[in-house]
Amino acid sequence: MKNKFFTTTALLILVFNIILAQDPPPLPDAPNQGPINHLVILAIGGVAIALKKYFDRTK
Amino acid sequence: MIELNKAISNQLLGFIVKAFCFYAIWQVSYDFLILPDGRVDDFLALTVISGAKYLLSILGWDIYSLGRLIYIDGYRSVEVLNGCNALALMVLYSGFIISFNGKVFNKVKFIILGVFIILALNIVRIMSFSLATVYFQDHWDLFHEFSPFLFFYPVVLFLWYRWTIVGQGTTPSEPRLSLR
Repeated sequence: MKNKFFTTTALLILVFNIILAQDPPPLPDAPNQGPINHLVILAIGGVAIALKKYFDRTK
Repeated sequence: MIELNKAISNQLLGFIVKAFCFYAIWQVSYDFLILPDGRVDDFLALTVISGAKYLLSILGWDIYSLGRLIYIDGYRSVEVLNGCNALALMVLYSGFIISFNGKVFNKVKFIILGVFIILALNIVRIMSFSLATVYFQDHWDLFHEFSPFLFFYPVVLFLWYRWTIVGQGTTPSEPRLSLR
């Protein structure tokens, strides 16, 4: 009985120690900084306009 | 004809190189100077906030602001973050105008005009975000996500297109009004 109590206590201390040894939860991420998103799509549109203009001149 | 094609290829290459250099310099300047300093981002965000607040109050809304937050009394607030102040868009717009061929004076005029238009559109956009908290809060994220397609991109693409026509003084002949 005494041996069982000792084992249980030792295990509890061990588990408790493992739990306490975990890293704290990560900090929340920074808020979304890119609400005006999809700028790449706009840039592609700009390049398309430029290409059209340049190629129109060859005609 | 071959000479013409070569000249156009050179112009296109020049446009791409100029645009690449412009955005590379901008990105380095922003990351190392402008972002740590913070004044440009603050100025734009606070200008947009005060403009939206002023216009909404004229329209009769009970609206308040606190720093970069703006809110209609009783509803959720809207925060203008750095990415929301349209600085990146202004730079993208200006980069195209600078990189594309054209007279310097015309470029300056077009850039100033475009930047003011983008600023005004951003004020309207932030106003619409505040109103969205009242009328369709459930769809606010969706509206926020696609708002640039509604407010900015058609206008910017139109300005770019106009620049490719008028920037070099190659305005197509338009029918003139006649009194006869």
